Amino acid sequence: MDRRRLTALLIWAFLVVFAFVWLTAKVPIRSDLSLFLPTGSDPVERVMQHKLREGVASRLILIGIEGGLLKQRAEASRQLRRELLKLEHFKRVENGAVESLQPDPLLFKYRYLLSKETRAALFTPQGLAQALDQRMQELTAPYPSPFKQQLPQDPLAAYPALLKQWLPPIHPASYQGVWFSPDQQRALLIAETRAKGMAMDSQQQALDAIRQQFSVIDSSGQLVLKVSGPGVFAVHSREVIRSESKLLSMISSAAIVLILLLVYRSWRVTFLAALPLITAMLAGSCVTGLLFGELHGITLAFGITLLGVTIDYPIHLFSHLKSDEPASQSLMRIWGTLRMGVVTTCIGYLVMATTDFRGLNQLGVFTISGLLAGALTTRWLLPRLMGEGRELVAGKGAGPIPRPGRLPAWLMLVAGLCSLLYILMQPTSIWQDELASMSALPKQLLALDREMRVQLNAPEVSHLIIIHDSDLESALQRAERLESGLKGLVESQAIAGFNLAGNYLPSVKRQLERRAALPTDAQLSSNLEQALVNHRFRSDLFSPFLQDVATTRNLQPLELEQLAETTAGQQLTNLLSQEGDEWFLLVPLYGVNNPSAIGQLITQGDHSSTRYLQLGEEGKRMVIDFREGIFSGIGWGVLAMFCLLLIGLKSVRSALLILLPVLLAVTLTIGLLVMLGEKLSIFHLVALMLVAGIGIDYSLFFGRQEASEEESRRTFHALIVCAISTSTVFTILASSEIPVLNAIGLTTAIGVVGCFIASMLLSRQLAGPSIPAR
Amino acid sequence: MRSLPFCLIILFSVLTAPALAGEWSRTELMALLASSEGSEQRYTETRELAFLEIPVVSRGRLIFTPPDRLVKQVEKPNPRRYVIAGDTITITAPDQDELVINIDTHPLLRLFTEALRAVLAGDLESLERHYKLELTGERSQWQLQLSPLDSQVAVYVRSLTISGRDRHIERMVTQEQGGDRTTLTLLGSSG
Repeated sequence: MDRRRLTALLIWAFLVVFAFVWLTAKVPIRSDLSLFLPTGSDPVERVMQHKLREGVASRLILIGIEGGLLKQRAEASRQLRRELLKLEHFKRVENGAVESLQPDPLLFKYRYLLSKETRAALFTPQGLAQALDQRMQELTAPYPSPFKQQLPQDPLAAYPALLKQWLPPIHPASYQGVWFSPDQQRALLIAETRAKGMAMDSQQQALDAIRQQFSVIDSSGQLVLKVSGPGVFAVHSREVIRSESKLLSMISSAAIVLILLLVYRSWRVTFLAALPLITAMLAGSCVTGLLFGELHGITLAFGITLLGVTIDYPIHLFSHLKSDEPASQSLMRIWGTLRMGVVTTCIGYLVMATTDFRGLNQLGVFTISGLLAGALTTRWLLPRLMGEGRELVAGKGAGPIPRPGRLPAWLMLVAGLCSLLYILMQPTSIWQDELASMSALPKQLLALDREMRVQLNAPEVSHLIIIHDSDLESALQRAERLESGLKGLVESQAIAGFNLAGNYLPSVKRQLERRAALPTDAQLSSNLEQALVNHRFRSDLFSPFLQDVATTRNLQPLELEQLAETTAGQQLTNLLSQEGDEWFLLVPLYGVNNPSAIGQLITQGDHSSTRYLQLGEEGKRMVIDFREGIFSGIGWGVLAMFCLLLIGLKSVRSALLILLPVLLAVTLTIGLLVMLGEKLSIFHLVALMLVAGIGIDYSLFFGRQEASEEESRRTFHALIVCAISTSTVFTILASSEIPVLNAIGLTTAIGVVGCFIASMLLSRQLAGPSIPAR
Repeated sequence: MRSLPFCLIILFSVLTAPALAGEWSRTELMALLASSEGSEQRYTETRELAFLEIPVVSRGRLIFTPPDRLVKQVEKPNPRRYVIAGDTITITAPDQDELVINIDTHPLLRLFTEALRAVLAGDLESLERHYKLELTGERSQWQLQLSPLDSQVAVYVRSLTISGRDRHIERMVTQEQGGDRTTLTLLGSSG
């Protein structure tokens, strides 16, 4: 190796190492999925998505304990809860066991303002006498009364009533004091992680902690742990995809190496072919890291897929090498075409970089910078490293590019049109709109999740009323006005239950009304005296009660900040949200049987700032929005590509003939996928963009004006090698059973073959009927 | 010279006897209680509560059906029927709706009702899990004191003392914190 080559290689190696070190040290790789969800345009949508992503539902881990005896399961449930609560990963762990036996001092103090029961009638002689009867009965029950200690302060039992008011509207079956499935075979717990459901590393840690604590508790190994929930799913799919793509990429790399070795019979060339790809990946990562300060795992995975096209660049060069000229000169013969391909593809991705989705922005930037770097490496580095070209077995292997007549070209057009019609005439949607069915999860895991949710009586909240207003008080009042309507819905069995923020924090207005219902000191003590006549209670027993009522009459209404540390405050964080100047109250509805009745309630009366959301529907809409975003991006991208080709080729016909085969191939690919019964998802779309990029290249090369038959032969050789290697790699990917990998593999494999054939039949028309004499 | 081993044997048996006897009779007592096939007895109950001017005295019948159904039928002064079965307590009274309470609404309920039923059914294992047991007396006149192991429950109930003769329970005394005391005396079969 001479010195110039060595220097070039060293400079490249230095840059690569530097980029790699910088990336690993400075650019964090994000793994939560929220970046790839749209941000939403109106505030209600934003709140909902915020809650979806970071809300409680996303942070829940459902835990089941099976095996052993009922008592063992119950005891393990209790122990697991105790141990998990000691860990910082969990904000809350519930298994139905009563939490604290002592009343919360703050809530006890405000009991008359918080309790729905508070009204003037309770404090009349009759009301008090009735309450005292009740207390007497409790005191003489065959078991000790848990609230006995508070009796002198709370003869009305306002605090126990408050606790009852806070019971969840529907709750799981309970045996031995903890939650169980109705058949008692599975003890159930719910853990809420501090980390978001989509923060996969933290979720992984939380899961590991649960497994570890469980193995300590279940020392005999008789019990079985089951976990489920959004975080579990996220972690699981990441693992599955990670291990599978690792395996598949190893197999594909081996396949590529094998193909290149077979074709070019040179280790050196095979090694050189990898340089543009490596450079492209690093450049993509570095530029994205610089611009965004972070790199998303999905950007990386999709981006590397899209950069797969850069393996074609050196192949074109290798097939055009001649023994009697330096590699740099061989390159110059194809550079014009190659450059046009790269720039055109980049224009397509530039559109993607300007969409509303941060994830797609990253992906666009990643791909553009990668493609440019790959092309520049092919242009500047490879020729230097190859020096005086040595003719490779290459070009001789193929015949000249066949010269198809007009008929096949027309047939191709007709086939494309048929495919388009076939797609348009599909009776059902060709799109995959359910987020869930795109997941990489095994069916048993999904079934377990459904089962545990049913047993926990905690289906995912999919129906929600959102009330918003400029201040908390007005929002709370709105919710209070809605309450009687909601109760009506429960009575008519349109819904099974609902949860209102007002249960935990009534509006100031409501609190003041309750305060006003309290009697004066003199009134109360005279009423109490009358009520005590027929009772055996000590006459001075209730002076703490008199005192408490007097204190309450001077209490200022309870405010949100004061509740922060209480159980009520915890509940409120799930039901309240402040976005900018707006307050949002979320009213989850359970067991919805009749959505239209809810819709009716909302549209009646003064519920202008109240919205009823069905999250399943909204989730679908999000997917559709996302897809439409990409779709319009693609539309504009194609237009931009066309304009660029027009400028470069200076002919409408040429530009059309270059672009048309690609569009035809894409249409045919979609048609074939639909015929195969695939529902198209965003992953198919990403793969189709890759197909378009590769297709443009093929098309440009097929449409090249070749200088000689030998040149034509070389070009054809390069194109065949490109098509074979790319379709092989993606066929391997298509063998995966993971929907994401399968979708990308299948689409690209079909698409590449389609592009090859379509460009051969159509773009070749550009090259003219015969090779011009030189 | 023969007296030394003899003395040792005597000494040994004197030292170990109480321990052996205690162990034996706790298990035996439970076995005895477990052997009874349910019962229906009249009772009187006196509640001395710090909150009340005078104690409440009530009368009625106590019916136990093994393994876990206990009915307390209060006849005087206010008729009321408590059925503790499985995980629920059902309260019925004239002119009132039936009230069903799950015994898990408060740990105290479960521990207390389970202790009552475990004593009546002679379930030693269940008792030992949640209570410290202390048995005194002899078979013809014994006394078993239960003290809750759970500190949260001990805040409410200090002890439950059950005394009886052979397989017959004669008296249960519940000692609550704050000096409240309930004495339930069983008067024998109502038949």
